[in-house]
Amino acid sequence: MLSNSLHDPARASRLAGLIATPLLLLAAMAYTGFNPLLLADGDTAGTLWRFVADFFPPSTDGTFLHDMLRETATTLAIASSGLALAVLLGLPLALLTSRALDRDTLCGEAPARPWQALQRLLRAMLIVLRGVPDLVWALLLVRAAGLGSLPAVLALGLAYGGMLGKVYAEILESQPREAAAALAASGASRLAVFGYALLPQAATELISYSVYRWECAIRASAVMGFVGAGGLGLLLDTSLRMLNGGEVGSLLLLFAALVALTEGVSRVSRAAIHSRAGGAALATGTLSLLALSLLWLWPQWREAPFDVAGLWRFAQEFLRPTLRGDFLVQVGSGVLETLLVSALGSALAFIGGALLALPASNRGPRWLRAPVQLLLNFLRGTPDLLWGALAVLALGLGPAAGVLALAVHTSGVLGRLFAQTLENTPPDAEAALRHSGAGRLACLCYGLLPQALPQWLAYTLYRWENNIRIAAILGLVGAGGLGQQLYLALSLFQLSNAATLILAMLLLSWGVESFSRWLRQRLG
Amino acid sequence: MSLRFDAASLSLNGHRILQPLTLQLAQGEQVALIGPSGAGKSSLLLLANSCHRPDGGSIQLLGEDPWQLRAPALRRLRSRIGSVYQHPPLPALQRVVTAVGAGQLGRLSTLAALRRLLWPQDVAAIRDALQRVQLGDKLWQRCDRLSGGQRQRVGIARVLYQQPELLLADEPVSALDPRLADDTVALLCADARQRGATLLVSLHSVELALAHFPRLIGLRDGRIAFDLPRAQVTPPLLAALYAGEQPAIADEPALGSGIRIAPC
Amino acid sequence: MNIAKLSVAGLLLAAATLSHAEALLKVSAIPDEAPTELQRKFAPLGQYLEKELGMKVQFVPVSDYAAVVTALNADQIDMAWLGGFTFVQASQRGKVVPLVQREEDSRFTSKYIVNADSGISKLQQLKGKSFAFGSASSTSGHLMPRYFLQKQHIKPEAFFKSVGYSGAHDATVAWVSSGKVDAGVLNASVWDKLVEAGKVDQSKVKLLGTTPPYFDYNWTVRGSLDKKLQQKIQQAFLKLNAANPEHKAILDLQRASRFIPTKAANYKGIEAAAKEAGLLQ
Repeated sequence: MLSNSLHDPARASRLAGLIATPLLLLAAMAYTGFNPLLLADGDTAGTLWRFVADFFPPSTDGTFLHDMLRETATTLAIASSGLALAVLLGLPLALLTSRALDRDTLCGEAPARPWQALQRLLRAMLIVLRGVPDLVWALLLVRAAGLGSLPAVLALGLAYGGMLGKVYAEILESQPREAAAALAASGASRLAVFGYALLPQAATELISYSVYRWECAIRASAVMGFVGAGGLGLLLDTSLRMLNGGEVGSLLLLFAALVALTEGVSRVSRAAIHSRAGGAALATGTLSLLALSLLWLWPQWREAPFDVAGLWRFAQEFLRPTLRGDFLVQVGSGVLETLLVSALGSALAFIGGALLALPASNRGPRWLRAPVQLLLNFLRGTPDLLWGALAVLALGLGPAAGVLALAVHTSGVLGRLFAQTLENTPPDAEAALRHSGAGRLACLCYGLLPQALPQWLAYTLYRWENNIRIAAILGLVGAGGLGQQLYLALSLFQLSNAATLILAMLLLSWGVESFSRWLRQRLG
Repeated sequence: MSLRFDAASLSLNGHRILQPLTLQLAQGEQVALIGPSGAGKSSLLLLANSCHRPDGGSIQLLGEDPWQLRAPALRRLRSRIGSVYQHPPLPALQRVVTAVGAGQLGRLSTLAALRRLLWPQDVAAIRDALQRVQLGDKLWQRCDRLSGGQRQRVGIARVLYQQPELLLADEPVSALDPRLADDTVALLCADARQRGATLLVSLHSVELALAHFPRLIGLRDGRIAFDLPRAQVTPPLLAALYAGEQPAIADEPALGSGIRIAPC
Repeated sequence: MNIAKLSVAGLLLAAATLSHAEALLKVSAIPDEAPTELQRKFAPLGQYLEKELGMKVQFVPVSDYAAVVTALNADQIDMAWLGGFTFVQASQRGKVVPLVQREEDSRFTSKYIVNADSGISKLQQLKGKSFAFGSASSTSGHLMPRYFLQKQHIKPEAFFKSVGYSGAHDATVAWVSSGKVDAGVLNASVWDKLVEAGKVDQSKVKLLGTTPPYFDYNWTVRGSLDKKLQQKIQQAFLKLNAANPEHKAILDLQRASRFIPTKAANYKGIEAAAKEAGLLQ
């Protein structure tokens, strides 16, 4: 490092980076068939424009509006009862697996071997529960046990249960240890240590996170219908397939309203936790919402009882993954396609997010700020699956549409985060350059970006870990990758093939997570 | 005239920081600015590098009023003025070669600036500038791996590389040991003399000021207490200047952090 | 107090469920067309069956082919309008009884269609174009066209640039018409209906060809359904007569000249084709 030489010691790696980055991007573009120029193509734009123009006026057909209302209620009910199930599943798992309650962490007792083995098993279970996307859970349950909203509730319960289990455990681990250690030293049980020491400390955070998850669950349950599991997605799926723009328009409006409403409720609820009266109101509200949800869903469940025997038969067939060579080759190409779609989509979103973040933060012209912020909200508020369906319309079937959908949706997510980073970056370096006469772009590149970039890259990598799961399900709307193969396998009742595909999804998502964690550590 | 204040005054957040000041620096002149903390030294320098706009009177830099210029002309003017900051704002992950190279951004086209970011250019000249502050071996180092004193010297290397006609420095050696501080001030003076540039340096150390500068300006409470050749600066004058020195007033921003609220 | 109330309510609900199950026939159909269209088609037939059987008939809309199979196997529905392939799937996965089929179903065909702007006039010219089947589980929209394409040495995934599944026959027409895909294949009966109703923009979609005939759709009940009821349902379908104006309306909506009895053996050909096309293991 301490070299007097005029030769850059990092020359080789910089050169490699400068050459490899565009080459990798180009290779990914070639493989996925994503050509940005195609977007500027008149035909493509025309097709998309005709469809989008059809959104106006939104459909106001009586029966359709009636259906919309009914499915909105179903969506809310699915999300609420699904989240309740997730809490019932996640909390005990968190209590069993959290290191914050382990006696060896709290008072240095040697842990029992069988107990450690059980914990490892439960942690692995949590990974599988949250590693399989909620939509895939729903698809599996619809195939295994039949129609309706029950599979959707169970799917949310399982996927979110896995997620809550992990996050609850982490929240407990981040609390100060003293009170818990004192109780544990006096011989209190695991549950007692939780109830008397950790719960009082962590309650607000636990509740606040659960409320936030409820907000996510609403977004998730709104697209569950894409796999036949009830709710608004059912209508959206049909309207999109039939290319009925007016109906899609109405649904989009409804969707935006629903998201805004839940975000509002979520914000108010999280503020309410801090006061006694607010807490009581929140508890009452939660219980009545849950009761209403179950009342609403109950008739549907009664009419289509859950087929437990079918579930068992399904599990037997399912638990024998296909490992035939030719099929594995096919899965391998699906894995590669999914990987490239997620990576390219995230990389393009990095660029898109950066370009949108500048005007959305305090760096651009003031009049541009509000519209760009609105655009960002729109991009990230519209569900990824819907972007997938629109992208298929614009670019045709296949992975290219997946790339576009991910790029657009993630640009919205990253744009907002990037703008926050910019607003938190001290402007000194940039200002110093400006006062020595540097141009706007040069100030940005020399003064601002080097400070914001590490954070931006970390955000993008985080998002990539999420996008690999989304890329795996975008195939459900025809955007290539493993999702399309999975949907086909499950439609044809080739359950052992489906098992292999889900295994591949899990491995892929685990691999990307590990790689991304390694990269982030190198960056930090 | 390289620098000219005509009754220029400055207020920030409703507080008057600088009373109307009148001041002239001829081309090639070397002047030290001294005075107690909170006297307005940094603010005066911020007026002089067109970071702040005076709220009364006018200023002329290198013969032009920066606040009458259109953007491209202002950029050209600013590229001829160099500033050294007490705490140079260097991005943590930027390499020293890039940070110093940024000194000439005012003279480069945007395209050339971007090319330099991808691939270092003009490395020999950048290394020369660094060698003059005895940091030749830090050329490829990342800025967050430098000590405070090293960062200060990287900031000096940046102006050496920029080669401005008007060089303004705010406490440029505050983080250096006395020996190195002396060498560094001498270096600034020699560089300015060699290129015929004008130099205005604020210094905490009266000794350094007396040792290196032919003309000293004493600043107190936003007013010029004296503006005299070195020979006429007597101990009683200095005693009066620093009498009952008070801790820094929060309103007066140091250069660097002062840019945070810069309106420009 | 509260718990007592709740349990009473629960018991009442359970009782209501049981008594309901006796008098209700739950019917569904593979969603080979838009859900609204399916409901429109079924309404008069449902009323006719209610009258003939003396019980309430309820139509359960389902969004996805395979879900109908699952629901029938899980006894969640009593009777379903199945395609040849979905029938084979259902009989592989549980006990189901085929009752009747339309006379037309014994010589059913599929139509290949193409976007008019593509200038394509022969099947072989579709190489490297994008192509849409209907649902993956559809007989006329997927299985049989795939089977016949393979007979002509066309392996869809290799031959076409991309292969998509529109989900339903009318969706396939919408996709081809909009240019979302270059070409597609669908049920001949739905194609004829859409053309007759003027719902196909002939300047945008052109007919490319027709497959050889095969067995398709039937009405199937779950195996556990009361045998007498099965017979009553079959008789009700067989009684439909085009000479009767009321019956004719029902038959027209079903696009049938009349219904005839059918048996599982009729669909052995479909099963063989599915195995050969690799859609059945």
